[in-house]
Order: sequence, then C-alpha cells, then structure tokens
Amino acid sequence: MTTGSEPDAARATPRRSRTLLGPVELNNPVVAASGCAAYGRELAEFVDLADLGAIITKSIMKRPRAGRPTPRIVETPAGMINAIGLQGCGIDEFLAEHLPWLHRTGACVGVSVAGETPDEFAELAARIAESGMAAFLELNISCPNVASRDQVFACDPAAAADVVARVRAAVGLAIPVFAKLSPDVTSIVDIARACVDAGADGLSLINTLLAAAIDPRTLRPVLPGLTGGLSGPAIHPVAVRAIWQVHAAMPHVPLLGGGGVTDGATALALLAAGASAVSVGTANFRDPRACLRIAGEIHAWMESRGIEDVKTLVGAAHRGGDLEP
Amino acid sequence: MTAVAPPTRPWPESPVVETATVELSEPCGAYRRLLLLAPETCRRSRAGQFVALSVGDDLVRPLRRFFTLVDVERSDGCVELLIAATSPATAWLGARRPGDVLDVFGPLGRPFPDPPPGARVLVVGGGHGGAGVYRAAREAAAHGHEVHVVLGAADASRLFDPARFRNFASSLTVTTDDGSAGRRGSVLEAAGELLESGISPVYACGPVPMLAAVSHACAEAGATCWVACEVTMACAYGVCMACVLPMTVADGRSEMRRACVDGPVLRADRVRWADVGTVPADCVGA
Repeated sequence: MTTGSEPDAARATPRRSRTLLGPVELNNPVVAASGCAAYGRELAEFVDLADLGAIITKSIMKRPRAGRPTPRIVETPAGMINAIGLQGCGIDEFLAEHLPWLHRTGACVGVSVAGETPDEFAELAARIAESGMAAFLELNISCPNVASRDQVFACDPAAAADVVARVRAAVGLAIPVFAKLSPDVTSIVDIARACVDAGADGLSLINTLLAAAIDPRTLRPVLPGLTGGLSGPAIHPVAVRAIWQVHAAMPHVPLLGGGGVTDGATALALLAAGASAVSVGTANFRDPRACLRIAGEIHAWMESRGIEDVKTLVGAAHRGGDLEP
Repeated sequence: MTAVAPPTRPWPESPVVETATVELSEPCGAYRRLLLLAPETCRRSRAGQFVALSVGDDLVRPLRRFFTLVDVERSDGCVELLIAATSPATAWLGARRPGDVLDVFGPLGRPFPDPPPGARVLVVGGGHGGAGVYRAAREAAAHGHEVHVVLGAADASRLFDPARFRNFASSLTVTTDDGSAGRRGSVLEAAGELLESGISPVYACGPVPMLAAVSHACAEAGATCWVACEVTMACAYGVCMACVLPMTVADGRSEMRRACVDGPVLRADRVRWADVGTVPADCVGA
C-alpha cells in the first residue's frame, strides 16, 4: 500500500493497460464502482481521478433522497452488507455542481442513474446525455435497497428490457448505455440477452446480492430494514460465474465485471471470465487508492509475462487460458 | 451563546495510509491502551480526529475499525489509542504486542475547534469517550484555559484514566453508575452544576444518549457544545454514506450528514438527537 504520490506503474507505461469497454476508451481496466466513490470529490484527495480507468458515480435519482435508517452497514464473513438506500442529491444539484466538477478533472466519467419507473430512467438518462459530460451511462436496475422488489427491474427480462428500450429511445446513440444486473435471478443470461436486444451497449455484472445479518447477542436483525446488499470478497465467485455465463452466451457484448475485486489476481479472474474491464467497490472503503494499486498489479503481472495488451486477456478462461490472438 | 467558528474545510491536512508498529500495549481499566509508531498520522493529527485500522486479514474482515486519537507524542511520532475489546475484531487488536505492525489510515474527520480566548472549558467524557476528549482538554489547558473535567462510566473500570486529567484540570469530577468510583450517578448532574456558572464551550464524547442529554443541558444553559460522535462507519472518508446523522442545516432544512467528514466533532445543537437512527420525513438527501 502506498502513502505518497509516487508514480504508479499503470501511469508510467499506459499503453499496455489501455483498453476498451465497448465504445468507451479507458486508461486502464480498473474502474471505481458506483456507490463506492460518491461523486468523486472525496476520492480525489487520494488519487488523480484522471488516472482511473473510469469513475462511476453513485446512482443519481430524480429527487434528493435521504436513504435508509442507521445502522446502514454490517461486516459479515469476507464481506459487508449495505443498506444505504441511494442517499443522494438528485439530478438537479448533480448536474449543477458535481458533474461539471468531475468533468473538469479529466476523468472518464460513467454516470449511474436509478429511476423508480422506466420513464424516470429515460428522463434521467436524457439529461445526463444532454450535458455532454459523461462518457457512458450505467442503469442501476438492480439495487436491492429499494422500496419493493418490483423496482428491481433486473429481476425480470421484460421489465429490464423496458427500461433499456426507453433509455435507448431517449438518448439515441448520444451515449453508450450499460445495464447493471443482479445475480439474484434464475437465469442471468436471459436478463442479459433481454437488455442487449433492447439496445444496451454493454452490461455491468454484478450488483450486490440481497442479504441479511442477525446479531447473535440480541437475536435481532442488525439492519433496521433487515435486508441489504452483500459485497466484498465473499461475492467474487458469484461474479466469476455470472460473467462467465453471460460471456459464453454473448461473447461480443462488452462486460464491466465487478464483485469482490481486491487485487490484481481477482481482477484478472474477472477479465479472464469475460469482462473487458473491472469495477472496484468495497475495496475502496479500506484503501482509497485501491483502484490504482490494482491497475498497477495487473500491469506488473502482464509485464512479468510479456503480455503487451490487456485486451488479449478478456475471456481467456473460455479459451483454455489462451490469449486473444 | 459564545461564538465559536467551526473548523473550515478542507481539513488541516489530508489523511495518509501508513504501516505502524505497535510500541506498547497495556491494560487501562477495562480497555487496552496501544501506542503506535505512526509518524505521518501523528504529525498531521489534531484533537478530536480518529484513525481507521485494518484488523487482520482484509479478505476475512474487509472493513477497518475506527478509534479516536487519544493523544500524540509529537517528539517520537507515536499515537495513542484506546481499544474496547467488545468483538472478535477489537479483541484481535487488543492482542497485538510490541513489534507487531498495523495498517493505519488517518487522521480522519474534523477536529475540535480551539476555545475562544479566555474561555473556561467544560469537558465531559462518558466511558471510553473520556479518551475522545482527553487531548482537547489537555491542549486547552496548555493554552491557558481553565478546564473543568467530568468523567462518568458504568463502573470504575470503564472510566478513562482520571489521573491523567488531574495533571491539568482546574476541577475533576468522577461519577459512576454503581458508585465504585467518585459520585454515584451520571455526568449530567455534575455537568449541570458547572453549566450554571456560565462555562462555555463544552466538549463531550460518549454514548449517544449521554451526548443528547449534555447537548440539551448546554442549550438550556446557553453554552456552545461540541460533541465527538461514535457511529457505525464503513469507509470513514466520505464515500459510503453509512455513518449519517439527521442534522439541521442552513435555513431550517435537515439533511442526513456524514459523521466521518462533517464530524466526528459536530455542533451539538445541529444534531436532531431524538431522530438519530431514523430518517425523519423532512430530511432531504445530502
């Protein structure tokens, strides 16, 4: 772990790390995940945001939102459950204050949006696209911390496709659109296919898993609303599975892989499973420089093996470990 | 009400991540006192700030744990922490011994503001919260302020080291629920007597019900009160939104504010104490 501003390997020799997430060009394949980087200002105290592969904002909603009661988090074995509940400033303040600032940092900015209805998703997406300050959109159709499971559009292929189609109709080809999916479904491939058929440029896999914890001292749920989203190392194998399945079914669809990425090894596993880039969430809580550290570890691993292009690693596990020719 | 300017953003200095070496681990009543060699954290820190420690294998326990910076020894780069070993993670920390290394992230959060020139200062610590006000009290006294200290706990073993306050305090009152040290009763009665004399500002740290009561008493007495809050956190630098408290902000509005970056030291009269743990209907996002 680093304390100062020494140059990162990924920055010093960027060519090997530069990659594509579908139509989006990234400095390196490591992206700060939505909900774990706020709107960037706090992270900017520790890293130059322009050095990240990208930063994805906390999900933006139509109105300011106060979120769920406290306590909102609990650590569980090899993970944590959060019940933040999408606390945020709403799109008006986001467009007026936060997005212009983020844009000026030179970072590749993905904006996560969360609507309560497909129409709201379309309206939010159109306003972000119109600003011209975001490199891509991530549709949070899979947040477990919402009022009802009916709002987890990613649980149903038709509902997921409806959101994606309305967003696509609203933004046209002005901005790439990624749909973020939940692994809490019977067949993630069906949901993924529905989103792609409805016009998604790519998919973000995976959101947190619906979970709960009980305090053994009180025998009561730790979180006031019982459930929250499980993240951290515990969910890494679930992410590997989901990414593998979707990549196997649709190898041409760009995937942003996330779930328990803590180091170069876990990032490489998601790339090999079929992700074009990886997102880092919970690890940012422990180490504000986690994204750059992980990008550096991937870079060092490639250098040690003489691998010249990170893009050749994508889906390698489906080819018996062979790099893309 | 005495005017006390809040600390301004940005923080005095950015936090750092550094590898610290345990220099000392010793019992301190029901707690353990750790001295860590962490020169950068030490140099940058101010009274009321806290640190975040990794607890063993970060694959098993991905989140840090958070501890007030009791005091610092600037000459040798050491920071002092008080560990209440109430969980497997904190018990692990309590079992560290000299020579062990720990991953430290700090100093975090906003410090206590300095008292206005000439002010008489009241410091109130509940349980291990006494550690959260120790440095503010010591430094206020070192700057020539008259400092009155009230420490309370369930029993004598849960007080934070009253003897150390005696070195500089103009008065020291100890209370325990069971009468095993000092007066039987709560810090409130003792604090109330001092508040009647017009003392201000007040620095307090302890459990939320105590902070709520001290805040109320200060409001009645017209004293400015700053509290250092201990709430559940995940990141401690403002990105996760786990540690929010309902607070009144400008023009009567309320927001869920982050204890890690807007605090841990907060203006007590801005916290909606009765609503802590809930999201009041009139709270907008923040």
